[in-house]
Amino acid sequence: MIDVDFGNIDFSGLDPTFWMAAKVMVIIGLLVYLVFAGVIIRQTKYMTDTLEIGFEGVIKVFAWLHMLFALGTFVAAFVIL
Amino acid sequence: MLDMVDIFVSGKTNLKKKKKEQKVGTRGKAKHKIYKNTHNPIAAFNYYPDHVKFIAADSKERIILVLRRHPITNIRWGVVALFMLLAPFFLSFVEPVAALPTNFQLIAFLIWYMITLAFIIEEFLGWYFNVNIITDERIFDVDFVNLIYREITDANIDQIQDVTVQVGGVLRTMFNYGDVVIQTASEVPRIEFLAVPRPDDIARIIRELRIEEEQEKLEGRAR
Repeated sequence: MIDVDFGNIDFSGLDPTFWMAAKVMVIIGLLVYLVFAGVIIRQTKYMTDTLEIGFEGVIKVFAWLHMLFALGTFVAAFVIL
Repeated sequence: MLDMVDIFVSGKTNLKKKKKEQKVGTRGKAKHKIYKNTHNPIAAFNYYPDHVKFIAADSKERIILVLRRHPITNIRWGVVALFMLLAPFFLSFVEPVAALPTNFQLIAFLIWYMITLAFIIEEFLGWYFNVNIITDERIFDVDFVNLIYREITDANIDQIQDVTVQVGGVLRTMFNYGDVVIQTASEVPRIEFLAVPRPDDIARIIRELRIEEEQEKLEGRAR
């Protein structure tokens, strides 16, 4: 049985290669997420084409905000990691 | 109680009057003055909505009611969303998050809120667009099963055979919402309006529409 002590985790001794690998994984994950954000925009359009009742503008704004958020996070990860 | 005297009295004069009042398919202009309408596009019980355009409705079809699940049914995901919004403030002090380098912490924080925003958008979309629609000719059940799969079920008003209202449980009785189960003679034998507000009023509207439809048939006005 492996005992993990979460109270004394220290990442400072880890090899820089580990952090580089972590950065690459985060960026790949965020790229996949960007596709998902695109799907949400597509979905929103599909849904608002089906039914318009007066709140579609706000919904579309939120879908695009989410896309911008994902894009911003992707750029931030690229720059600061 | 709903005042439906104007709507369900048959006769061409009444229909003309209604068409004047209701601006179906138009956008951004004057609002009609039908009693008990909230003019709120995110209401769960939208009686004669102000501006509505539905892909499956004919141009001459009048949309009478747009229904969603009662807002109280959103509480579960609302609480989850609230926890998700607050979680980083507590988790940031917990190992192993606190042991991560600051730049990774910041990205983890951003990713968390991005996922939270997506969760809220998805849940809201699920509630907002899964609707039940009653027109003067048909009833519709619109379901968005997943991200891009849509299912629209409809039945003609004159094919409705039986309408059952099911209200049970403390919460449903307190907030006056429940299920309206509609048996039809169409290909889809059963259409369910689930957790909709004011189920008795809905059943009454459907009943009066059926009477109206039968009267139209007798007078040879049915479309």
